[in-house]
Amino acid sequence: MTSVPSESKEEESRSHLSELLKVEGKLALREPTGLVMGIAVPIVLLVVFGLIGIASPGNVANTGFTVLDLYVPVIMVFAFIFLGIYILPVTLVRYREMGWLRRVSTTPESPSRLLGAQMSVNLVLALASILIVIFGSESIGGSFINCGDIFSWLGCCGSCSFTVGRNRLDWGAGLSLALPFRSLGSACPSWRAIGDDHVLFSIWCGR
Amino acid sequence: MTRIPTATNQEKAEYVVVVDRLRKQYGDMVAVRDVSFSIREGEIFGIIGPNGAGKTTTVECISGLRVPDSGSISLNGLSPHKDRNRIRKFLGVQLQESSMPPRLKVGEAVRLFASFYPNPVDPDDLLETLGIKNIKDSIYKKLSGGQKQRLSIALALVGNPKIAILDELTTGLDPEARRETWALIERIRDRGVTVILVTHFMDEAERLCDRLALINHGKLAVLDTPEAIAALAGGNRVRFVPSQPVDDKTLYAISGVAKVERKERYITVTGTGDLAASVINSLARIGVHVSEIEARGGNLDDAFVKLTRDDASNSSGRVQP
Repeated sequence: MTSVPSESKEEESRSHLSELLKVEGKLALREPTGLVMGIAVPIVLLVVFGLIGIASPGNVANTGFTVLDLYVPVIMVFAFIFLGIYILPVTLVRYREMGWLRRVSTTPESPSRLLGAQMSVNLVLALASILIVIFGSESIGGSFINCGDIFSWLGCCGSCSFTVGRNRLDWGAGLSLALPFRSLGSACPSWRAIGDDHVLFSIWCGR
Repeated sequence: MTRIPTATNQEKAEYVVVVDRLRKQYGDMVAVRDVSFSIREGEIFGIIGPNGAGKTTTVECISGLRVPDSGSISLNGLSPHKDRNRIRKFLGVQLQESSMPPRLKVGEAVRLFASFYPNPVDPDDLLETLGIKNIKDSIYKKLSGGQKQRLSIALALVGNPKIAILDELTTGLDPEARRETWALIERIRDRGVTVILVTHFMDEAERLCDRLALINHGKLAVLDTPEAIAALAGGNRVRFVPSQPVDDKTLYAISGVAKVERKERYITVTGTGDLAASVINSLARIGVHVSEIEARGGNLDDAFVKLTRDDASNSSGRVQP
């Protein structure tokens, strides 16, 4: 067995993280629950509400939006909730149960890096889900982007912070993004919908 | 009989692991009480004992996974708790009953662990040495018990450790895989790695270990070479069938015989010295021939049972109020 020459500290740390991200990413693709619930189900919902929108076109309750427009934030939040409060914690609990965290903690690497890699993978899934839902809705006749500007994207970022945020700071950041959407609701219902979903989600999580 | 090594400064230099009066308690259950031993560089040091004796707690304290309540541990002069980050670079640990993400591939797991260490061995070479290179693209949940165990050993060794802690190494392996694993441990030792081996298989301890610590009810019951511990079992034993009845008095008169037991047509005598030869010769002189003779030296199994039983009678494993 030959020794691989040691690298500098910074390179070492980067190589740990990139190897961890690579492995966690591959595992996420091999264990498809996250992919199915974070990406496939939102696509199915998008198609369903898109078809409803096509079947009964026009604006809902004088809001100026179609059924699809109003459900886009709901579908996004569904994906975030699933990734954030199901996939991520369940994976970590399983890692703990099977002794994987303990095993990693016997090496120079800290198990918190493993958690960081898991969060990153889920964040990527959440972002992919946002992009698919937004551009998907556009392509089947929605107008989410038309009404949105920087606030819509900020709302999405806030939702992502729920997906990966496990502490009060993240919750605070998410809520501080959610509340302005609630108050801006008169200008654009889609913003308000994002804000409502956020507030409800915060309350539901009991935080 | 407890022999605690009293090391002079010069001797201390060659010890890579020094455990001094280690104590660990869970609630009112004392898992480990005042255990002390020292391990020399390059030796295979066995920790044996019955289930729940405190073996795993002891090695978990050495590997820094648990913090001792009192006592001290030093690995190459460093504390596993305070110098955690430095220790982990030269310590490889194989944990009892630890599994991995079910869809992680063998090669990926070893490469991942190699990336954690500053000076790892080449993952492919290691897999080759362990005989699992052919399964490096298999996922963990498809592996057999033996393959999982080898992967577990690979993860403990990929960081090129100076000290390796192997807990319940061959539990769940078939006899052939056990023998192969033993050969592997000897090869690791030949590379200069100090091995701490936790086991409850006496044949494994006898075959591999240079020295053994027997821990029972959290206490160090005995610390010696496997041969010396085996000798504590109480000498040799000869079982035979006599051609005609022999009374006990005649048997006790034979030199070296300490104990005579009878079961059906078999007589078993226990004692010291060349027991089989004395029994055959003495009985031949009075015209008794022996057949179906079976002689056995004292072994570690017997010593283990004897020592753990002796100890059980005067210890409850609880804190005395």
